[in-house]
Amino acid sequence: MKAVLVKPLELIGRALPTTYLRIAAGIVAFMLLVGALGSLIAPYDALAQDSAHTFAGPSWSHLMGTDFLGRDTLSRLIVGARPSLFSAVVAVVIGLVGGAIPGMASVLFSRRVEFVVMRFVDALMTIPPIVFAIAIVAGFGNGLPEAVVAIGVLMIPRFFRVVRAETLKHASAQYVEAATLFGASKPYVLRRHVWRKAVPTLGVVSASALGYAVLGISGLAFLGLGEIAPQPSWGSMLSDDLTYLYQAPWAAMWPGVAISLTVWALNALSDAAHTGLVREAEVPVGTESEAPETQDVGSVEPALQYV
Amino acid sequence: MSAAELLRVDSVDVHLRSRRRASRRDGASRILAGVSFAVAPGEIVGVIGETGSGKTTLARTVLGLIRPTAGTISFGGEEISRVRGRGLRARRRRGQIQLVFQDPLRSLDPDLNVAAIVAEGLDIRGGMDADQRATQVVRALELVGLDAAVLRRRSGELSGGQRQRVAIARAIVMEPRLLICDEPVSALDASNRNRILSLLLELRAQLGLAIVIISHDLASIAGVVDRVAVLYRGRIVEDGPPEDVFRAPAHPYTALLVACAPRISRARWLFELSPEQIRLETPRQPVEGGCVFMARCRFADDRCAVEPARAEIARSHIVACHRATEWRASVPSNR
Amino acid sequence: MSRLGLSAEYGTVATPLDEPLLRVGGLTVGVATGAGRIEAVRDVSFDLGRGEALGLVGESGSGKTLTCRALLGALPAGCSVSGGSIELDGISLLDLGERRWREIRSTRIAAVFQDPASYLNPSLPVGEQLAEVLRVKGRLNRRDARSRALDLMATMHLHRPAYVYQQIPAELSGGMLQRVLIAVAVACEPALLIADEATTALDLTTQREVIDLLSELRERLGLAIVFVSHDLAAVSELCDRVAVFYGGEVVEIGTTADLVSDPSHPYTEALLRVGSLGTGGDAALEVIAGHHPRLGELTAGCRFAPRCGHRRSVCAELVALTPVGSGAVRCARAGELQLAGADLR
Repeated sequence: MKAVLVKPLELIGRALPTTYLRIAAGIVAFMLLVGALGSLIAPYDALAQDSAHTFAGPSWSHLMGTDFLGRDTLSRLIVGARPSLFSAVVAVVIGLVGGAIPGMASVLFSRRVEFVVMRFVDALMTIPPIVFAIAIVAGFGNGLPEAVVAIGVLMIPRFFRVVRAETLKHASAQYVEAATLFGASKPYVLRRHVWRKAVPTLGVVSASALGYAVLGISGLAFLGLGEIAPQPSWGSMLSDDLTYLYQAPWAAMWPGVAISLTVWALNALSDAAHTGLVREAEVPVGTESEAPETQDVGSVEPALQYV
Repeated sequence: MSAAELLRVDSVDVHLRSRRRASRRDGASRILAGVSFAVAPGEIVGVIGETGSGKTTLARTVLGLIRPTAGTISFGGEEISRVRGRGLRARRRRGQIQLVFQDPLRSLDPDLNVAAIVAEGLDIRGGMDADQRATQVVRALELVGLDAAVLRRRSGELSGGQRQRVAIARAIVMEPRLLICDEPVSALDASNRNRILSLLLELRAQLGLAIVIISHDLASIAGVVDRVAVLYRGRIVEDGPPEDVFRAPAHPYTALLVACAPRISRARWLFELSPEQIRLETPRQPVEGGCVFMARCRFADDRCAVEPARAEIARSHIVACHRATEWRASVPSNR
Repeated sequence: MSRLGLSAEYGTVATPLDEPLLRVGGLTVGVATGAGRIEAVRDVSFDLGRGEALGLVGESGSGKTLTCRALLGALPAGCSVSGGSIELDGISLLDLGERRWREIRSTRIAAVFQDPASYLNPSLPVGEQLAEVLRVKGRLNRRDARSRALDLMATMHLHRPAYVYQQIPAELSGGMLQRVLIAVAVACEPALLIADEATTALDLTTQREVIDLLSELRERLGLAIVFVSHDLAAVSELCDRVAVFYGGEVVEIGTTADLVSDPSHPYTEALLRVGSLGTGGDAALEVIAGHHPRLGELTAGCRFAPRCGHRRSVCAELVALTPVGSGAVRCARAGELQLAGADLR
């Protein structure tokens, strides 16, 4: 297991030589830390209302001011990090497990089953996200878990497709054909040769999916789907602040920046990992070349389909 | 079928896989047509073919990766071309026929080390514990002339010649009776090429293996094979001992190959004709159902509109050409 | 008057009438590695006359490809010329600006390489790509470029040029693609063509056709050719003279006939030995013991010494290229050794 994790970390490490990327990684780490510590580090109780000090601007006692109910914005932002971030992580896990495993397994299916599965996934992709979330909420009630499930399920197709593409790509390698010629079964081949090669790409997709999930969950919260008031979440804070834009024009900036920074940082890291992967895959141009193979009428179809 | 034959390929046809309901059995989509040849135990056979000859398809058909549309393939007396699914996997696990791929860089998993790569077949076959496998792996590496020091290395850390040896070791660790090598030396320079060819000779001597070497050029098989079969556009046009086939080719295409082979000293020809004397400058219109080489052959006449049958012109020397015995006389020698 | 193929430093005389087209003198190319700067190409010298074909033979890593890249001004990152000279028609090719290189490439010097498919856009018809070169470099208009492209393709012996013109690379064989690329190379009638492993990995019959084509272009266009290959046999089919590369140096240079029948360097002799074509039942397959040194393994004196059966202590010192016969050899023991030529059966 460790061996599998080391590779993407190594790649990210090697792709983080620039300050830009270090800042991005720092932001993500910081946000995760804040989310983890939550109310432990919040200066005030996130739910404590103070009607005497509503819409206060930034001051020494309230570093980010207060909202329409006099609650400290900074505290709400800190406590709100967890539902915004960690639920995004859960959503990604749902998408990953729901998509990656079938994605890899789909390569083993017969052509007919594969066809049906693909169409199902296609259908899932065509559902408008917000409508889907509303439907889930309508069916199962409003709340953070429902929102997380909605986002998670919506991400299944992207993981499915990526993992399936990676699996197919690696399954057509010659060393896979060699294993097939030794009488290996398809599951053996996937286990031994294919899945560890799909992991780096999976890592890249997960990172960008995290960004999407943060945005998605915040977006749903903004619309009122998800974390129920008065529990803070960045999206709902944003929604409230926009309602009271005239009274406190600056207030929306805080959750807005929190969301954007986090999503940006996640995307930057995902891009860096992707670039790192691409560079790894490039064959080094050197003088090591001996005369390469002749042009050949090679068989084109991957080995797995003949067995 | 003679009991002494290890592998027998009999009138095998392979058509392009077509998705349409009516399978296209016309000549145009036939990759292999009526291919027949045999390999005796411990024999080294060379199959020469250029691009489009179907040589790789032939190897893949023998290995069961492609199903022939007609004909049979027998190994050790058993028919093997119709086996599918579990039966095929079981047969493969026995490992009696092994393949050495053309490109060792692509056929070795870059994430595995040499020990894991060579042991893979044994691992899939099962029935051995880790120690037994390790012993076999070391023995196989010794046979191919590699030191146990390479066990921990990955394929990217080896030279081209070493990689090729690892690929060979992976195949022979299974104790096969037949080894099929697809262009084993085309990616190597002359010295390394000879090294690997010598290795194959040695393996035959020590293990009693039969070997089929598939190649596009003469240098890869000259000096090594007991017999050579020449493949042109899916048909075997000539089949015989190399001395006869190369010094006195009976088929014009073989003659063309030999004439085109680059030689260090231009003053002497292995075979006295030049390519221009054999091939046509402008190809003529091919005839459906006729000889495959007709379009380029200077010596074609009306008979060549019909596909020639295989004929034995000397002991174990077979040719598929209507004019096999005559065409040579019609060309003045260069000497 | 025979061309001696050596630059003036070696004391030969060339008449003004057949002034060499290309003069390479003491070319040295350094490569930046983790272990410092290593001379991957050292003291390479040869001349090439107009319409002459010179072969560069050697194993991978011997410096022949790096030399070609220096000739094209296309050295990879980390490599640079650290000494010597390259002159094409009297113009030095070192330290030319990009603009000047753009003028020279295709019009004075051109190249073809291995694996023709990777040098063509896979989605455009090959004829279009050839015509594009004619429009950009030859400054022809669309119509003229197309018709000239068709003519060129016919010159390359591509049957039915109009049909081939429209095909995309995937629909053509390797031999045909290589011919298209040769057409692209000679489209603007350069004086010099560099063919770097251009026939390697082609079928036998195709290889022969391409070599014959190059030979024909030499005669028709007076094209000078530098033909690089690890296959001595292919080189000897096309070239009048051969330079043998080892460890980044030219170890022998001379006419093909002399080199083959009477080699002066032990490595040349070894190449001849391993390169002969057996026909079964022959003596054991010949090999050269050891392997070609990698960049970090280059010795100070003779670089072939570790693998040479004739080495003595004198071989540890730097050896210069000395004239012998029609060419030159880099061997401290050149005069003493009796080496065997190719077995002319």
